[in-house]
Amino acid sequence: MHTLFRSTVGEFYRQRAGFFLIVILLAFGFLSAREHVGIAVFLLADKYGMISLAIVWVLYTLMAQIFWNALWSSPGYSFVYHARLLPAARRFSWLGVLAAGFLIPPLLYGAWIVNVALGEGIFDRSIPVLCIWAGMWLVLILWANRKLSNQDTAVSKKNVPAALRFKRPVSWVFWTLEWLLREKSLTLLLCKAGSLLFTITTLAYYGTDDYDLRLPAIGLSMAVLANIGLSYEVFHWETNIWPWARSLPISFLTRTGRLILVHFLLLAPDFLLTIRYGYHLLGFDEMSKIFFLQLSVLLWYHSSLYKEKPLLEDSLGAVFILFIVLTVLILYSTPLVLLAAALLAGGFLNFYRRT
Amino acid sequence: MSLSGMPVLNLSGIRKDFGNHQVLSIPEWSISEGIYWIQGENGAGKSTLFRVLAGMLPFSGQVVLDGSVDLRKDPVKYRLRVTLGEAEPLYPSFLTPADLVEFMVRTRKATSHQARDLMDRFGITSYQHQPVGACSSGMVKKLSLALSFLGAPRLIILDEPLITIDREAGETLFGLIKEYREQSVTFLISSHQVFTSGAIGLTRSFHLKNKDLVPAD
Repeated sequence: MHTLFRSTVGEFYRQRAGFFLIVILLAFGFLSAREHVGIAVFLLADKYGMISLAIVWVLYTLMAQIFWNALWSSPGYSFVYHARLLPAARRFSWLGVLAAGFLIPPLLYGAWIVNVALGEGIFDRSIPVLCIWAGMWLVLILWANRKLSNQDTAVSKKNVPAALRFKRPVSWVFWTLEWLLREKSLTLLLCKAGSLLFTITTLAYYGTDDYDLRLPAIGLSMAVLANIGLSYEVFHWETNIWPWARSLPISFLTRTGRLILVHFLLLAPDFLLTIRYGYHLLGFDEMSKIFFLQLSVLLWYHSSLYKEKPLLEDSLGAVFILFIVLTVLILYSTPLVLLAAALLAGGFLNFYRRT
Repeated sequence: MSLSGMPVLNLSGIRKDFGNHQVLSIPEWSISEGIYWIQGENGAGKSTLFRVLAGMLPFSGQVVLDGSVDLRKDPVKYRLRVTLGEAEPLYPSFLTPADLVEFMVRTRKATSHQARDLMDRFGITSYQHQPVGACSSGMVKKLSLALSFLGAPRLIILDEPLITIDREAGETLFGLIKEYREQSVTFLISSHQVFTSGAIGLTRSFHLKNKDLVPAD
């Protein structure tokens, strides 16, 4: 059981760590406690509340099921099919534990909603929450049991990536972005959604009163932090997906330039949104300075990853410290271009020393 | 000046650690032109050595090609002359052999003619537009071998070149090794299968033992 749990559920959380990180960042960084309670009350009281919750949870369960199916279809997981030799009671109990493991996040959120319902004196309204969770749990168990009984469908399928409708450019930058879109689409979506939300919120707040440039500089520096998941994935692509590319005769400057271009393109939507929402609040030169700072922050973070090939969570401490230092320096009216140039130089040295 | 008297590859003070675990410790090692068989038990560090020599892994020490091209000081020039065919090659699954070959033609300054020839000889042409993710391990291995011959390498490193490929591809490989050897290309080959000196004319064998390279004969 322990082996099955670690290799299946553990792998789910390990491989989807970036996704959960972004969800947590959005949930706890972007929303206040009052807004969390407001959402829970909406889910409990509004006529569309439970339907909304059910839709989100079903989508989550579908994501978990797709992952589970792909994992157990991989050749390395043929050992799990021995579990079908177990007596039915034990087999279903094991599958129940696995399914519950996949559904821990909805379970925790469900507990939170029930807690809110108790506080608001509307416990009966929270009963559907438990029913939806139990329904998803049972569906996963039944599906997994069926999967165990059909091993021949497991290892024979090959995941063939869809072909492009045009000739693929021979470009490392294009391939990197294509890989992000194909393999890390959820992370891409959440990272961009997070950073764009931060950008809009910052600019909306900036427009409410007569603030100076420091406010959008701090707000948009925070917005760029939502992109670190993407920068980490680019690092993962470069070092783990095909490390063989490092044996190619490509100069350090070319490699650096490509990474800068990739990060520039990743941040381009943020810049366009800044122009869209901030054109009447900020001059183009001010927006460019902030964008330069954003790009430098992201590149500095990226260069720091080459130190010890850390896990994403291990690298967050440095990001946190960087953001505090950066905020203090911005508050003391340090020129943004100077800050950006210093970060860029530091990142360049980091990259040079560690690669 | 003929290069035959000069060491093609010279290693000095090579050390490679993974955390506290030391994998390589080679005080001094050099080879002249030829075909060299690197032997070693599983986990001895052959693939790590090859990855170090290909410039894929950071390491301590010095690696010099042809007496002057230092991997650290002249990384681009070095990498232009050294290629690696990995034991278990990994490529992004959505790319096709044609994408990778075209990319390599540009980076290694090879010609399209050479690329086409290698693809034909290894039988890659028939699946060149199929994503790598849809290829069998043998098909990917043949692609990796073809890529390692692209350009004008001075040293070709082949890590377990015979695993997963069919007999026909094996014969193509031996033929290419002989041809490139006639053009003064040096080979470092690791294999658990026995290489008889008659098949490709081995120059010498070394054993990777206790983190160091020692003569096997």
